[in-house]
Amino acid sequence: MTIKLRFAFCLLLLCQSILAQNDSINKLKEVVVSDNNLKNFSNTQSIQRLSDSIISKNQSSLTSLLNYNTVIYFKENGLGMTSSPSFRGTTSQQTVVVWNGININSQLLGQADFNTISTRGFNSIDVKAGGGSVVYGSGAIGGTIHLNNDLKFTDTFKNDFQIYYGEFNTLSAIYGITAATKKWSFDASFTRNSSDNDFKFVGQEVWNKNGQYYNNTLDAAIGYKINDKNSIKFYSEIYDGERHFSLTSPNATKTKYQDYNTRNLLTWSSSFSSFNSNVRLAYITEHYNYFEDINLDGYTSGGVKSFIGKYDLDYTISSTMKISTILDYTKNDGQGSGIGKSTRQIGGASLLWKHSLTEKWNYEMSARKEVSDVYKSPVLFSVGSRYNFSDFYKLKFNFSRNFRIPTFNDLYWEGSGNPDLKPESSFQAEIGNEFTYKDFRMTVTAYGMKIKDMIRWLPNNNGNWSPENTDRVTIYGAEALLGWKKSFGKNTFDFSGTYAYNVSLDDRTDKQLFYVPYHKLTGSLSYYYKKLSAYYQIMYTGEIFTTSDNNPKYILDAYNVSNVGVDYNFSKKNIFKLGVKAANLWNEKYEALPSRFMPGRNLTIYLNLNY
Amino acid sequence: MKLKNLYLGIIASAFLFASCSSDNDDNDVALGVYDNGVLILNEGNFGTPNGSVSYVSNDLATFQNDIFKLVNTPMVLGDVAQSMSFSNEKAFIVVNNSNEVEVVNRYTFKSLGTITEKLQNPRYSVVVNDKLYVTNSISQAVTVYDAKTYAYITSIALGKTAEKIITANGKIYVTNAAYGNGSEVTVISPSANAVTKTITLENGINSIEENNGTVYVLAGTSAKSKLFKINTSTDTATSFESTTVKNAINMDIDGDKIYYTQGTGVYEMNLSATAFSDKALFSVKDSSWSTFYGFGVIDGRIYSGDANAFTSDGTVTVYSSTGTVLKTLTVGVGPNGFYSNNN
Repeated sequence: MTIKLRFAFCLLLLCQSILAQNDSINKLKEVVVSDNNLKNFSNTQSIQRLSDSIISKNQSSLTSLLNYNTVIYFKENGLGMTSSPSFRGTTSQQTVVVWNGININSQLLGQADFNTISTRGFNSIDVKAGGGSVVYGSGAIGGTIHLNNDLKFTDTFKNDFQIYYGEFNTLSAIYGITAATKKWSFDASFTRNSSDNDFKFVGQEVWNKNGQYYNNTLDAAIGYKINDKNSIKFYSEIYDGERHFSLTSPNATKTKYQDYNTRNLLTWSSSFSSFNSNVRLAYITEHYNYFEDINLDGYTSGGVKSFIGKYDLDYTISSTMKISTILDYTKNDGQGSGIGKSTRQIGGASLLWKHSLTEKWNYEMSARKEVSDVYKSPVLFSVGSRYNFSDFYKLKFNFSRNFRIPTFNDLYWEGSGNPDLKPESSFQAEIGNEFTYKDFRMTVTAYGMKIKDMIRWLPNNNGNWSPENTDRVTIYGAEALLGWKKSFGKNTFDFSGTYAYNVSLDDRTDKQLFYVPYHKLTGSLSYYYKKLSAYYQIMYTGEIFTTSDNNPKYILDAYNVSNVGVDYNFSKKNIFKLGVKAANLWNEKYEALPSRFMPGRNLTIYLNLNY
Repeated sequence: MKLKNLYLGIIASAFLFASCSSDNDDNDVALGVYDNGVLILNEGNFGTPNGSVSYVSNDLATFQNDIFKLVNTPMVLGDVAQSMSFSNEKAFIVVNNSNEVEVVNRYTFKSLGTITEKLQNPRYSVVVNDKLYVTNSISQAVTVYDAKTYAYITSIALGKTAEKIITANGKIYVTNAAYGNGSEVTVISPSANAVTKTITLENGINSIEENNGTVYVLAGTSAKSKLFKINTSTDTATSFESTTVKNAINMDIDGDKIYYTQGTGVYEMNLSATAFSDKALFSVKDSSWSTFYGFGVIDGRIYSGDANAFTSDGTVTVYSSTGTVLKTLTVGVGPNGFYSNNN
């Protein structure tokens, strides 16, 4: 899904009032962000930035990072197992993971598995709520998760080594190197995660069986400034992992799953008079092997290789007006058990417009149309406006139409695929209120959306399963993001929190979608005193329906999980940090999905070196 | 998935338990609270151990969900309760994704034991001469157990799909077809525990039934439907087909009638028929998906199990032979079969 269109443009004019997070980017002029569109054109929506210090405080999987720091709910099939999100009450396929500006959701499944993405190789991760299909393509309905390798062009040479070791023989290690001059920049890292994952279920004499996993990730980014007007960047990631799938009944057949994904992106940016252009070429591959029985040699497999070419041209008409166009082409070649050999081609064009009416008021508009040999696509659009009432209060509004195209499996699965599927499509609106006062920041956003033609696999009367465009859904809710930082002498406190209330109704039954909690809350308090730092995190998920009729018999109970950690930096100038943390401090018994119990209290010790 | 009988209505479990001697139309003495009725097997969600069994009495007045759990807590039935077979007072419940066969007293539902040895995605079972034969999809073999001690005896390798299994004329017949794909039936000799013959029919085999020494096999494809009758003395088949009735599935024999479904329609023909009936007895409303996920005919009543797309509890509807709704029951997740349970 995904891959297609991403991008965009429009920009607005910059009235410097972007989000606080973007302000910090703007201050560091020497940092070149990997995704200009996110920086330039998302001024009427909410973006939450997770910095490298937050990334290193959390477990290395994207699931864990986002679970404890954002409003997104995760359907995790046990620790480290397959994991998919529900963002603003949408389905797993309606959230997109964007790697350096490129949509990397699986073409086979339409969703990203958040436990196959390792976070520590990225400088920052941004969470943008709401629609984004004009820029990021299929699936950007609930929101988009942006993984960024940002390059610095200042003289630097740094080595970074982090190692975490915890119960259940759980290891996470990363080595990274950053080297840069004013012309060159190089950033690379290698991450290894592994675990026996054989924890005991809280309150039961049962252990997690067949849950072991490992994964390796190699990330690299290279930038070269040819001259003042031209630069070239290359980004690459290789992910190789194997997971056994934990059992839900003790004698079940043991299975395992291997993922091998590669991502490569070459960009050439240039500017001439009032134009800026950006050429991007990406080659993305995904491949899996599934072993139905680990004692047998046989397995099923599949994969998709995608080529994406994209050209952005921005024209700055005046200091208050900017127009951008994006042309792109995507070709996906899929092959595997079940889908045979299939190819899909998509071409798209987007137009973006950004205008500042006054110093305080701007608006942006964008539209996209794509053409494919496989499905019919609606015209996508986004319109938004922002008004800065004062330094204290900003108001934002955004209205957009977004979509999600059928996956390779939906279209081509042998005997089941449905070539007549339409894309899912949504209309959605949001109003954001941003309050800033000294070190306090709060964003409150109310949103609503209507999604139609939701694709669902259903058993039919021929005894077979097949995907259909069936459901219509109405979603409304509100989310609040809070940040506050305060120092008292040598003591510094840093608090951040998120809360979302979400209703997702199936229009036919008027019932809440299953696996969408009404409430989710996270909170994190960090404390710093000289070289000592400590933090406490909580994550609360309200009760979850597991059936379409919201049968109270099958509700998963709400859960409230806390983590705590403390570390000390022994180095005077650099970083030589030793720390310890306890996950699930209060030993809460919980399951994110039925029969998928999560670990009780467990300890990890860690060492961070940065020279 | 789908076989025999009937049921009814709703009554609190307390009542059920209190009255072991609940009276039935028949005169026989009930051997347990779940005697004189129909057992409904609910397979549950794939990957979740929530398979269950529901019971409804023959007069459709007494109904109880989750009887295995009710009687045997803290045991759970498991993940994908695929099928059931019976021998005397025992029921053998094949739990596919859990690699288990749960053995219970069919009338009280008290657990008698669990078979796990050599099971690799077991599918269906049958008892012959006090031995339990179980088909396995991963090992593509029939595994054999002592039906009294539950001890493993041997495995019979087929090397191809091993799905439904029945007995007729002292022999065992296994369909080599699953999910509408496959064209063969393998014959096994229980005395030798060995394959004696492979009968090649046509692609699309989905059902197999025994009646009065004859084996009936139904094959349905998008082009046609075909019924085979295997003479179990010679293990040769005769057949007839229809190109107007396509994708016929869910064959069940009740009395002297052969029932099957096509789309949302229920059809019947006589055991002696030489052509398919293309006129539905009645059609059900396709208000949701998977209306006939489970199908069975017991004593002239037609049972449909609607899996409701596996996103909520299933719905069982009991029809008269003319399509009058006699009872609607909310059962467990994924009702896939109906089994007459009378002592």
